[in-house]
Amino acid sequence: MAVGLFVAVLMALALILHVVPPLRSGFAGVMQPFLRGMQAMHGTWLAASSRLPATEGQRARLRRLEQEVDRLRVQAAQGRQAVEELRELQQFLDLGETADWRLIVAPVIARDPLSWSHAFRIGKGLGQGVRLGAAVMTGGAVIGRVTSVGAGTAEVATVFSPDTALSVQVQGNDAIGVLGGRTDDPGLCLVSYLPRDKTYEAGEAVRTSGLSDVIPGGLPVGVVAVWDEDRTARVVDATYAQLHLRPDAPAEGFRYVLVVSRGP
Amino acid sequence: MQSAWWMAFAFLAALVETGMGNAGIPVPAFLAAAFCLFVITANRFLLLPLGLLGLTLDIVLCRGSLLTPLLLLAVAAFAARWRRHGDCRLRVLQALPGFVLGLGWVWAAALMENLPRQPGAPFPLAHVVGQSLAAGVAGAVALPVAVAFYDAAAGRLGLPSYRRVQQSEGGAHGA
Repeated sequence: MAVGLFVAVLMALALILHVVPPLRSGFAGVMQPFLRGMQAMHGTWLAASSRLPATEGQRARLRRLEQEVDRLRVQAAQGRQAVEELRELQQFLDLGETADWRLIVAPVIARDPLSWSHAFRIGKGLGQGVRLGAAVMTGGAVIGRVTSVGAGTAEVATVFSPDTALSVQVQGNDAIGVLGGRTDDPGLCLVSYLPRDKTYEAGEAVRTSGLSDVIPGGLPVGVVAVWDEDRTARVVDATYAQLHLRPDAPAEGFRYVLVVSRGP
Repeated sequence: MQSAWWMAFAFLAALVETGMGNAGIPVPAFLAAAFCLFVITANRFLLLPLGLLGLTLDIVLCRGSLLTPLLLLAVAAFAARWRRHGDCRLRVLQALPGFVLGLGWVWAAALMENLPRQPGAPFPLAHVVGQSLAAGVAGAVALPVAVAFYDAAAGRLGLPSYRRVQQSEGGAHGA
């Protein structure tokens, strides 16, 4: 009886800590220094295991260049978005505020091996300007978005997770849908709530729609993949269709990501 | 002293699980450490600190369920059974419960994560089978290593030993 009551109290406590976001973020912060230390040790080990003295320098240079490419792609996407906004706003006299985006490079500090490509934790949070819902990029494309943020860490759901719910636009026909969720093919993810009366071609680029306040439009996400032998989209009901998307961002093998967060 | 060492041991296991996880290797190190402690102590009130530590581990690894705290209940029951009917003296035999822990860990994760997330579930069946075998093998290595590590430190600190737990209970083995 006493043990049963004890277990019930424990489970209730665990549930509360798990569900309440500030408590969840606080708990995640407990292990942050250790995780950062482990990451630093891993980096040192990688450097030490290299036989050629110049390799680590080359690696660092490559990392800088990849980050620079990411930055430039975001800037180019912002430029495209700005041109589109300008065309629309030319019709009006009162121009709205221009969005100001910050780019934050963050290390990946923890990933669950049981759902490797589903979610991960990064080593930057509110204190460094990371905001809830912000887009997260790697390899020049969106890999996911921030779903929970604490003082020094943040949780990122990838495009393979149903928690992502990222608004995207198919470039060929401007159809807008919601990205998030895995398919039977582990390399593909699902785009839902697309209008069924549009035509979708395999290989068409899919970008962020810009409909959200927290994610700029025009960021590359992936390309439309073939659904099965004779179609690229599946009609769900009288209104909506779904399609499979092949993400441009690598699902694994990255140690740093770029968080695109609204300034200042 | 004893409680501090137990928690340090469990915390180290959690760090190992996280570090191996970052490298993409599923190792049930925390559950192995918890099993080891439950066998040694047979104290169910150890569930509270271990449950909180397991919850922290779940949150850090961005899991969407209470996987580790719930699994600890099963691990405590399994450890009690192993303490009574298993063999704690031979270190290589600890690979057997380690393998079971690895299998159970992955299948429990698959069940708990898949159920509330259909469609677009993160664990297709082929993935679960492959992962559970990998985690089983990792568990079969992790538990004997955890026991060896615990006993080495316990010997120096004068704490109860895993290998002698059945002797200290008056030869419960085989009862």
